[in-house]
Amino acid sequence: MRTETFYRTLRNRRRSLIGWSIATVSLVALIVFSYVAIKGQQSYQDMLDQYPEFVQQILGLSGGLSIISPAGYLNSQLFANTLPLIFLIFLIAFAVRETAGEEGDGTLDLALAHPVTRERFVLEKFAAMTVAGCVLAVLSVVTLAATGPMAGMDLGWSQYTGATLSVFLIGLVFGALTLAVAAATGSRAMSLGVSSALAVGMFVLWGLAPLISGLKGVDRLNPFFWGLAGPPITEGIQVGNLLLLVVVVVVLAAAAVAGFRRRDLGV
Amino acid sequence: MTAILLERLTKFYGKARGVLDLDLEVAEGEVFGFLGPNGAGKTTTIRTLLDLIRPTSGSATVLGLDSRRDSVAIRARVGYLPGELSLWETMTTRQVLDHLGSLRRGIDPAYRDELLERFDVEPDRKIKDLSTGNKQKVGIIQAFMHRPEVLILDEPTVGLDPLMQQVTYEVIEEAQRAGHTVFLSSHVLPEVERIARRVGIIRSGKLIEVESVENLKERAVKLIEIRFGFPAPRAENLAGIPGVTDVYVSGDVVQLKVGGSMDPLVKALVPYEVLSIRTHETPLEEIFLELYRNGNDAN
Repeated sequence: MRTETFYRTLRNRRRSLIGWSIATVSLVALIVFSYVAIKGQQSYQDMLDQYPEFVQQILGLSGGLSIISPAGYLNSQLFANTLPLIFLIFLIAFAVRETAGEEGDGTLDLALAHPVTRERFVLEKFAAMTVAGCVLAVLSVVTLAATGPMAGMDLGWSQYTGATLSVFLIGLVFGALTLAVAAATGSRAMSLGVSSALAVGMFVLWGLAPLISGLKGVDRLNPFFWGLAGPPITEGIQVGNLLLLVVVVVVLAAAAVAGFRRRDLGV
Repeated sequence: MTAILLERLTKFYGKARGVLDLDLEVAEGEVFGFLGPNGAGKTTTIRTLLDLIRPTSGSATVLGLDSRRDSVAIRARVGYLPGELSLWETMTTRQVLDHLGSLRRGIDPAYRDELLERFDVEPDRKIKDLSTGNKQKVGIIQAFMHRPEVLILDEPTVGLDPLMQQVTYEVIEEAQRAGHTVFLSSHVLPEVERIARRVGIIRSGKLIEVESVENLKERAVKLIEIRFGFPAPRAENLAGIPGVTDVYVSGDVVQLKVGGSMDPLVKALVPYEVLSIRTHETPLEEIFLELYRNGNDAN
């Protein structure tokens, strides 16, 4: 038996994936080319220096990063907000659609009346989601590498790859969380609601962390911290943090399998 | 050998009743009709056989395999048509059948093509462009295309025109001739009467009757019309005969209902000149209603 569910899932998401690919490439290219207008504008940097620290954090400019440097610019415009958002929306929507969505539509009933184990079914869905997300990640890196030099950026493949990978893994954590909730409940609303709310909450906490002393230490439990702290675009990938993200993803995928195995499927 | 065996199968959804203490045995090679109104527990039973839902207590086995422990092995040998069929809307019929075929070890492509032809399905149209009836045909084809040993069909002819219902019956009969077992649920009685040898009647989650279609009809109340030569008996004379009810006399024609054996009536008619007796085959529908009425009285 081949990985039929994996292929079918990707094929049925093909149109959506193409749309998201075009959007990702366009957005990344647009952001890169806009750098031309900011490059060398010291006054712009001076203005941002006046902003409170948490605004700088949310903008991805903490730790003395300068928005007029290529790394500071990309972090503040792409890696700290736009790209995580792309991955989050895409992966959460993918997981909801392909698990709870299939259950709600009733197509799950037919698929699982075939000789496929529940474990295998969920894992193939997880694999399909991960691969689809990887497509966007690769496109992001390629677009950065292709357009960066045109906008006068002096960064290379390793920086682009490290920063994109870190952000992609944040998205994958929430994608896997969506999968786990959908697998355990079969509810579109529940899986979408829980994972979106947690993603937004964690992102805000990440931004507020430097401001609130009580959050010191707690912010270390935040996937956004693991993927954005550094930031990777200047400091390189933080292997420990990325491993943490991977572990959480694996745990959530295992939870999805466990939750899906034990319950009755809805019609 | 036993194809399907339910032992005290019970399913509750929270506190809501699904089915209660079902005991049922379906032999290999049998066509068994599972009858009952909507919401009686037919679909619950069927989905338990495929391990889509799990019994609260009791057990279900298919071909000697336990529905929980050996569910993958069961599903490999069963063809299933869901009661509320949903197919992937953006795929074509061909893609859906290829996908489902690949989820198994393999299908019989020649038989699949034959079914596509007999059901008059155009395989390259997208599911979303098909009518309900055409989708149902795709559902039937996917259930049969691997020539499974056991067919579990939840309301197979819903949405089909009479011609396609006929094709469905033929395909079911062919499966039976090949020695395969068919377990079909229905609330359409003539359908079950047409293809099943034995029926189980389920009501409010309980199996209230398992009987051969023949016996059920035998036991049932028959509507009889007798034409007498002069003189016709008076209604009172006939009403006293054991099993006879609802006597209605109109000139030389008498209509009445007989429950159980015809013998007392026939013996009682000896003194009269009987020109003709017409018995109307009782539709299963009426037997069904009768059973339901009794069931209600018991409550």
